[in-house]
Amino acid sequence: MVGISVKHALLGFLSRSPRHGYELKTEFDLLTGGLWELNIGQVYSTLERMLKDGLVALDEGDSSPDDRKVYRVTPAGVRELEDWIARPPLKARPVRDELLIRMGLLMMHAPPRALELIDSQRRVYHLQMAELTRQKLGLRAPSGVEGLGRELALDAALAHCEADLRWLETCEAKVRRFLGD
Amino acid sequence: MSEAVIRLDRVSKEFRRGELGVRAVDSVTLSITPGEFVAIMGKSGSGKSTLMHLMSGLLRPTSGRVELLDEDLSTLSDDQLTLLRRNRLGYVFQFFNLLPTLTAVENVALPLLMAGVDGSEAERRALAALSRVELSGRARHRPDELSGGQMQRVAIARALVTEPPVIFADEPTGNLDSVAGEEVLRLLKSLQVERGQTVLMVTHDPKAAAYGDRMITMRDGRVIEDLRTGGMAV
Repeated sequence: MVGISVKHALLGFLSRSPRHGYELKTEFDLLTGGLWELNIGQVYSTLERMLKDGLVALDEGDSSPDDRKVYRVTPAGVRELEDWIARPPLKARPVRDELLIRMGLLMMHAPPRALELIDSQRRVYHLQMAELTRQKLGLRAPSGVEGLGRELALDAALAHCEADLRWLETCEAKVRRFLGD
Repeated sequence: MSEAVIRLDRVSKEFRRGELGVRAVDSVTLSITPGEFVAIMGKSGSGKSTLMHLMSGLLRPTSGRVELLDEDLSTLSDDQLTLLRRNRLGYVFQFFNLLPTLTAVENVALPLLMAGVDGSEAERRALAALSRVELSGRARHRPDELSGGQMQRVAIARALVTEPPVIFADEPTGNLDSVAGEEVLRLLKSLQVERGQTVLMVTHDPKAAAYGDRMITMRDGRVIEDLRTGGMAV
């Protein structure tokens, strides 16, 4: 599924102007706030596949001086991008969290240790939120689409941490009640 | 000499509730370094607000010692304490606490007028503080003509107009939407980063607490966690 979003992100960048692979990776990192690790190999393999499918083409006329391939989007690529953007909203994300399994197992075997897990996990989220906030403050008057895209990505990461913290709070209250604390 | 702006040594505060004494703060020892941005977290009833009131001299402890800006608070009379609070501390509250009949600039000038600064000088400094929070254009507006976020920025201007070394903020984003809340937090952060002011903020919101570089969590009147979140100057 990851590949699908990458493909459309690249199409979206190319629809603004032709670029080479490395520029596409840089733009992807900006859009996702560096929170989504994408290596340059994935960029090239995605571009290769899209070349084969006729969604992008090599921009022969405007090859860069250092011989890097420049890609442009084809009309078929634009159609693909528009269809994808017009798709119905995404389903709520599935809860497939390792923490959930750990918590469940600890509740079965050693409920007091579930409280320790909650405390240490909470610390992780607080530290992560502080780090994300520092990155956000470092954006310095986010101007333009790139800055805003990056800020929204950081907001998303913060919101996930916050949801996890809220869930931990509920866990803690319920575990304490269960233990008669 | 002292490397702390605030130092608590085994500080407790009990409140009478009928026959029972309730220990809202239970033997807390900690110190706050100049220039720190500290978030105090905890559920309601955890003692976080009482802790802040003890730190800011609004409440006197039942036992233990509070030092604030190198003063042992137990040696100060109520009047001396009031003067210390008025001249050297700034406050930001959840519900802004602006006077509704005064304009923004009049609200901001108030602490200066109370400290005996003359009218035109107070107005000049109040306007500078409003410009610091990017509200120069609203100086002559009354609170009911401002949005929640703008009212809180006026309150921050009022808190910083006396250039206090320490600012206390009690749930400063509790009554704001998330974008207005962010602006307020960025402002508080900039006071720490650009002016080296110490900021103490009580909040139950982890997103707000993430602006601090130290997070103190209270439960049942005790500090259960004191976490340095590694705040480098941004």
